[in-house]
Amino acid sequence: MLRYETLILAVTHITADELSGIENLFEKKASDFKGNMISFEKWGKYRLSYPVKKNDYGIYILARYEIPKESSKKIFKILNDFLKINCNEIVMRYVTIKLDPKDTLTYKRPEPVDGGRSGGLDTFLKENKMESFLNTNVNSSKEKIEKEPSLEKNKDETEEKKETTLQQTEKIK
Amino acid sequence: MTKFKLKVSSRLLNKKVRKQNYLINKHCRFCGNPEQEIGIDYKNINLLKSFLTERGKILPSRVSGNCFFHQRHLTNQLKIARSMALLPYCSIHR
Repeated sequence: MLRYETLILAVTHITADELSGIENLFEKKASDFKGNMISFEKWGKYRLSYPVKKNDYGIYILARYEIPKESSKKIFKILNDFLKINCNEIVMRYVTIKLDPKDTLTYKRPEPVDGGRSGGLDTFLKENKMESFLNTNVNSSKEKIEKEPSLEKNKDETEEKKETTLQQTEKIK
Repeated sequence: MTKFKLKVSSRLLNKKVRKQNYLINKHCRFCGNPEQEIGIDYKNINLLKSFLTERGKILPSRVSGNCFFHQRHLTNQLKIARSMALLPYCSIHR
């Protein structure tokens, strides 16, 4: 049994059906030729280091599988045809690499653009010990909200005053 | 005949010292360090980035101090990462 991995660079507007279609094919072909699928991961959105097919952003997909040595040529021909012809508009680039079965399956991957800071601004401030900024932001936002209805009250008061003045002028006449 | 001693300039002496220091510090960081050796992978960009210049060229082993075996392994992985747009070919793309 030989261990392989393929890294696929796809466009950002890939749908869930198309992604599941690629996954199903990998699983099916591995099981047909008496192999097995190890993992299928979607990394996330990345900023590419240079534009590929006029795209600045892309999505990486990593698939790992084990297949017997005799049927490796047949499987690669089917997979290459599928990725080149059927997924021509979705898949920009791909690479298949042989892994050493003795090595561990853990690996380091770069941080994506969208998935790096999942919590947003609040978690970023907490992680970097800048909680003073966090408190001021919250207070200022609350004050703004409190100020808005008070302005509305003033407006109502002015309107009432106008009405009273009009009534007084009518009385005088 | 009196023995005549050759004068050695301070510039040449400094050069000699600099060369010796350079040779002492030169060593491969992956040899005898299996934890880092596993890290040479085309997906591990943070490590590979340290072997590129500002312009995106690959550093020679003369500068980085890698041995022949690890330099070959590293360049192969760098070229795969370049082809998958994980690393730049040069810095003028953008």
